[in-house]
Amino acid sequence: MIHEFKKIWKSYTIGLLWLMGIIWPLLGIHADGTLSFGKAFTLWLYIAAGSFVCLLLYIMNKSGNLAPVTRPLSAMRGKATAAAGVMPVWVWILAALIASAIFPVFTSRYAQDVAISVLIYICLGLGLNVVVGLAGMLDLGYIAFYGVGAYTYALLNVNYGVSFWLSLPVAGGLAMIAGCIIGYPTLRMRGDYLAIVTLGFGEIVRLILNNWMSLTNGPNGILGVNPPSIAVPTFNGGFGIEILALKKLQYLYYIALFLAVITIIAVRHLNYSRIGRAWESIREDETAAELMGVDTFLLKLLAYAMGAFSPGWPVPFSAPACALSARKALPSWNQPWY
Amino acid sequence: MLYQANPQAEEAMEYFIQQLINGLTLGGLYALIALGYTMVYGVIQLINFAHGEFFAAGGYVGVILLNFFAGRGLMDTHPWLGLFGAFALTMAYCAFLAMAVEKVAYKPLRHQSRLAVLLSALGMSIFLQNALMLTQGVFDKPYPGEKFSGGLVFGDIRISVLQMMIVGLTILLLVGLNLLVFKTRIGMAMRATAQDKVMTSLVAISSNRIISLTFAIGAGLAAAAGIMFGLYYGSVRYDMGFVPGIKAFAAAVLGGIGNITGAMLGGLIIGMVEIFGAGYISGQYKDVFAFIILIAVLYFKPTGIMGENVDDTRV
Repeated sequence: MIHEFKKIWKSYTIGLLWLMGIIWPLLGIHADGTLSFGKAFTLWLYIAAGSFVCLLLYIMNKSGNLAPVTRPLSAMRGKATAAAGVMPVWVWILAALIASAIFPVFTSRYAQDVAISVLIYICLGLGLNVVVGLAGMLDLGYIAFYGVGAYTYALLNVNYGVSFWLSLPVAGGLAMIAGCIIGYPTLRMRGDYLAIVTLGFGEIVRLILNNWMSLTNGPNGILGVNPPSIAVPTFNGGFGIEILALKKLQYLYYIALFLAVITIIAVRHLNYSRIGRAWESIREDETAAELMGVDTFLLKLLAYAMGAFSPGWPVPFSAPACALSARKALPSWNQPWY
Repeated sequence: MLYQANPQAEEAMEYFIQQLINGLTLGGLYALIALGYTMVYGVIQLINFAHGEFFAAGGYVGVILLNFFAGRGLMDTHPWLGLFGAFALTMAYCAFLAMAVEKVAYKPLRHQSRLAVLLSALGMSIFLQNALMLTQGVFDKPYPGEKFSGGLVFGDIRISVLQMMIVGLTILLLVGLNLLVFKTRIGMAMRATAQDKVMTSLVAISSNRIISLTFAIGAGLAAAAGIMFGLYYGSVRYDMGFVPGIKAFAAAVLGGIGNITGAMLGGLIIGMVEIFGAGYISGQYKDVFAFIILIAVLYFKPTGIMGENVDDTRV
């Protein structure tokens, strides 16, 4: 352990000094012409202490000093894995489904809100996995499809009163068309250039949504989007049908769960189909795939379209979930700076 | 009277010249940022997404230093000394920041797939942006630029002191960079590393050191652009690096990525397109024009204006 620490302490110290030099000007130089060290030093001390503990654990683990702790833990993990393997897979899937079905009964509003975000991100991640993971095209403008889906539902609902269920396939379809529009000109590119072009496309979509005041109301977002509603039969004084607006968060959670499950099943089937194998072959070697008779052009376009469908279609309802404003549905990491 | 001045045409001409001057200023800034992209790409074939954050960090450190100097009273007695002091210190700061980022985020991944480094750069960009937000706050920070107001006025054409300073300093930095890259031994080592890392390491040139130096020079230029940007527009924001960063990358691609002269030219073109697009077509969509140019260039001529042919793996 001492030997390994000797090798590493010099670069570790230099790194910490370097970090001090980087954080001090941001925190220690003040507009009134004074210098202070307290704040920067406190922050630095936290980082240094934390990284030192991590480094120490890493070195101890590497030199075998942590074996009394790690050995029983890994034995436990092995036992747990073996126990899990005994049960068939469908038992686990059923358990997960039941757990997620009764989740809103026992939890608060906040937890349900987080769970809805989780389910939306599941759909987004699965769609992105089709484009990046299977077909191997790094698409950084992916979030544009999310915006297209959200705005489609919000605009259809506010302007024409189209219901949630009807706008679901419309939003997904429009997102697919947007995917093809973005995908078609970029199919010639690979790697970094593809990444940067898709980033540019995503930014164009965001700018248009942000600036087209007459259509999208710009940065203020679209207000007054209705939550999804369902028709419920009533037996109050004879048989009738009542429209019930699903305003409660629980209902939105169940819809999100439903859409996420469908997306998971669909993507899984795509993954193990002929198309999924063709995508993987394109990812591994495009030239070889083309020589083997894979229509790379069509399949790459299809990857874009399928990848765009997946975030486009569950997201309409993130608009009602996000305080009824479609603007909030757009992520914030590349917000405008002006 | 042979020639009668047409007042409307004259006004249009003056507007055009004013836009030309504005475009030159903005183009100079984009050229400075684009150089960092193109140099890093030339040496390690990486799109350094965190480069825009060096620009933003430069803007912030610049405003911190200018406020500090003002608090000390230096800006009242020697405003230009304070300004150039801030420039020098900020450029040094960002150079050190870039070297640290390179060591932490890119060097361990140098032999991994190119996608891994690209995603690491993207993560570093988000990390630096949030670090700036946490230490400096989410609101716009005003730049103390009132000391450098004023300028030349020809009729309706105004050239402010800041614009002259930006263009002058940009030209100075570009000439300095050209001398460094094409006339000195360090520059020769950099060009050699860009061509073949194994071969240069055989003639006793440390490629690690050259890569660090490339990052440092690129970030220094971006930091200078950050201060000028803050002075020109009057404020800085923690996420101001993203959009100029992408536009500067568009400039680098337009000029042919990896080519230093091309990046300067591309920056000028992108700046001009943005200003003329804003002035004659639509101010709201000024950012869209730069992206459309980026996409069009990548689609029709991926090698850019001055770039050499790139092999299949890059395109």
